[in-house]
Amino acid sequence: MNATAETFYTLPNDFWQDANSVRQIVKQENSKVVSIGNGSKPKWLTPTTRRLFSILALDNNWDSYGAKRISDRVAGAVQDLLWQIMQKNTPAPQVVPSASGSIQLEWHLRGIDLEIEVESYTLAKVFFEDAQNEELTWEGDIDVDLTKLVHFINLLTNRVQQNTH
Amino acid sequence: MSDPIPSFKSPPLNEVVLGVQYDAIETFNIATYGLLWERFKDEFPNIEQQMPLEPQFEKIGGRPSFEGFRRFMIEQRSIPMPRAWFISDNKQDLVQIQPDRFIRNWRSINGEGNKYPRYERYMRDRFLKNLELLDSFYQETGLGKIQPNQCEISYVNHIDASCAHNNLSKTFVGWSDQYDISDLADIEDINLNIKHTIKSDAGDFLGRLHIKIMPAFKATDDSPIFLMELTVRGRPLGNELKDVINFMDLGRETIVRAFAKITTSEMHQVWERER
Repeated sequence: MNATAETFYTLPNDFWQDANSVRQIVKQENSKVVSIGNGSKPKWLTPTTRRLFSILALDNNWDSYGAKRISDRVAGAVQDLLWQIMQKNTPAPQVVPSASGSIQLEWHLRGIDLEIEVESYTLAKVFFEDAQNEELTWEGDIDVDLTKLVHFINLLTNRVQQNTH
Repeated sequence: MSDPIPSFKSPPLNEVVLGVQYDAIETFNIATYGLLWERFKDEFPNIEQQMPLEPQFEKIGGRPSFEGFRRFMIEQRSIPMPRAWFISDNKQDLVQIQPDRFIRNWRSINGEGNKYPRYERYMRDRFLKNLELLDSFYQETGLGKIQPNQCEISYVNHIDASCAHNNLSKTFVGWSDQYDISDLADIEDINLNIKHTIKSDAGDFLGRLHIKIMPAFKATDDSPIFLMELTVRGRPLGNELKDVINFMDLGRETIVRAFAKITTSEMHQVWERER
């Protein structure tokens, strides 16, 4: 088939209707199915992916104040980061484009505020605050060491899980 | 690491790869390849084009990333720029270039009569010379400047597997003959993938050493070999080309020392270990 890139771009919207698709793709591409668990896709995946695609559709000057178009590379960095830090049951973040071309991920849930501004594969600006434990407040840059970010995501996920049950 | 770096007179080396990944040159387009080739064609008069390589980063503290999945999902929106191969006349040397990547390869062609010309005497200087040429091209044409974000060095070895792929202990010290369930089932082949983290003296994460051992067959005579690939990948400690070379020196030393440690003294005799 002599398909264009645009054809591939529109494919995933239908693709996500199948709950097992993630597992199949991952298995086919990388054999790393273990952290997906049970064959079902993570809760955050569909809304986050759809939102990323809608952000990618924005053109230059999308805010009418000269905002930069969001690059595939930054969206790829977001996807890459989420796969590495998120748990299966972590709530989906709000995904917000910025005028400078970065993408911000935000959670404001159960007293926890977590904001991650992804600028590239190796730079994310992070703000974390927990109303229940002010000592945990942290703001800084994350590069290749994701330990702190995984810790924040785990706290958030556990907090939401506790309040759900 | 004060002991001398191990050296072999006849190492089973088939390919050496030195690569640097940098922040993508945003205005790089298809015409750029033509202009670039003008700079490289005296040394590399032949051209091929390949699919582009995905961005690759060594990170720590998270789960392994799903690179294939991400590629499918996001980075299909625009037509990808190809990766150019500029190849020398004897086919042994090549450079690979795409908007965010420069790779310099030396490879053995047809196995015989082209021994690896050595890192210090050849590969290091050629890599740096070609990288500087690329960087000066970017700067002179106003496209930008190389801002390295990852470096990678790989040594690919072709190790004779004698008659079959089921006996790794002759070559590799990490495989034990105690692994024996032959009364139940025979080993057909062995495939190993080992990752090590590399840290600075201060304990900071620098990158990883990846060791892959997989069964393969020689292209020349179809005889069984183990393909042993050692790769060091990580972030250079600065943004300058000298930082890239410093990483390559560290990576090469790590690879050569690791190779000597994980292979048997019996094979060291075959490869004529000098020190």
